[in-house]
Amino acid sequence: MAQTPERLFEPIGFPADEHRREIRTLIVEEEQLFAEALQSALALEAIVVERIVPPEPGASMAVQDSDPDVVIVGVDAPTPSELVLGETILEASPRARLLILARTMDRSQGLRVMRAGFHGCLSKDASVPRLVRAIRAIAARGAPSRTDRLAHFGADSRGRRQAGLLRPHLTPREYEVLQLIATGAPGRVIARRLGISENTVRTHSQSILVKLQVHSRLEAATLAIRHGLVRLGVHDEASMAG
Amino acid sequence: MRILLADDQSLFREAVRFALSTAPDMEVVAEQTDGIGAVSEAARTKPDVAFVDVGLPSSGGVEAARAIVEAVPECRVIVVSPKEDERTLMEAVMAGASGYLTRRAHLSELLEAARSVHRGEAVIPPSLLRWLLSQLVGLHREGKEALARLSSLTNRERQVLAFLSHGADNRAIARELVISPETARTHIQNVLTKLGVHSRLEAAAFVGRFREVEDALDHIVPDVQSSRRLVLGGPSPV
Repeated sequence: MAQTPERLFEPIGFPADEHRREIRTLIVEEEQLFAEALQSALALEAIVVERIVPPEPGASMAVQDSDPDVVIVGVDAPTPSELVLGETILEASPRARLLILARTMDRSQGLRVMRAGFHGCLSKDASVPRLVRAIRAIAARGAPSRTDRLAHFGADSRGRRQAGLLRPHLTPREYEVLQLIATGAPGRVIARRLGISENTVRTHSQSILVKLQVHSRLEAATLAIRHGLVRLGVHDEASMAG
Repeated sequence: MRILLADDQSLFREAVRFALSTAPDMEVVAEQTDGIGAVSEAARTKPDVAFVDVGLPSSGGVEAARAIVEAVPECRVIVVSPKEDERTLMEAVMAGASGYLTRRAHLSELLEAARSVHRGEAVIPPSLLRWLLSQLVGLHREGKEALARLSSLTNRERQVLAFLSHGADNRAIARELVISPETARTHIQNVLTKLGVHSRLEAAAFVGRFREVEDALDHIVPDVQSSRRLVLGGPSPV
């Protein structure tokens, strides 16, 4: 199978056997009924909710005790004050992976949550399959990438890498452009690679900046790398996979 | 048991549907995200039990509950509230709901609540039961006292009060009852004295409150015939 340049920058997915691997979760949620109903629904998807704890300071201890694959934190809205408990959990368990589940949320709030170092943010208006995908995506991102040259450059203080939930905001084309931006390619090179004009590249770039709420291509690149939206320098792996 | 779920939060609705599907005696026959939809869907599917979120868009859960009870009398409605709230409980009970549950309850309580109301029982959180009972006792006492005062009115005075409660002034009352304005004034003064109120406005409020109390008691204890119509009968002023 021919190796196209774009294939080098495929997002991190998860291996086929990841789809049924059992995942252990803990839910921090005030609405017990909601949490238990989720527990019941997720059980069918091999996602085990081991504990449900109320959003109180003790939640942090519970996370340390049971060391789950993914922590699901229910909040009213992803505002700074509501995210304090999540931050506390992250401080106490730096390796924990947190999914924020918000009753009400707009896009910019979602992005802010991702930037704040959480691993995912989903509205309670989502569907169960969507939640399952988000949990699996976050759990699958556990293994550190061997060849992530730029990880140290873009990584935040906690050194975590996140992905997936930023991606739906971009069109497939914007996503391609973003991946090339992250390699440091100038507009001229991106245009040639994708077979489009430089003006079109500029339009796509502008739209990416707006959607990711950043001010420069460099910021967009670091954000993308930090959140695992793009994968760099993995020619060897890609070739083997192909 | 056939169940309707009305909640605008899809993750909650979907998860609860999954959870209920594991119970052999339950089947979710309809799901709705807003109040008006919930009522029409209830009328169409005639479920045994309806879970109605108190914060439903377009009509609010309490109004939806009231309309479902009216449209499908055999359907038992459980109002679901984010957290324990006395006012919501009272409103739900007065709207004819058979149960009240909060999202802080356990899933097993949700299942048990559905079975209980289906059996014809009421489901009220024990922590709120005392409060609810004291409210009902208070309402009952208030109703009885008001009834006693209203009973002391003569027929003519009742007619005058009925007009008063609709905001009619002395001249209008005199004209309607074909009496002199002076006589009307005398009647009004007697009504105020007997009801123990100080103004015509207070008298009107007294009637409004009495109707409210009677309505509430009517809803909760429908078998006890209210004597309101007897007391406040007579011509209904337009």
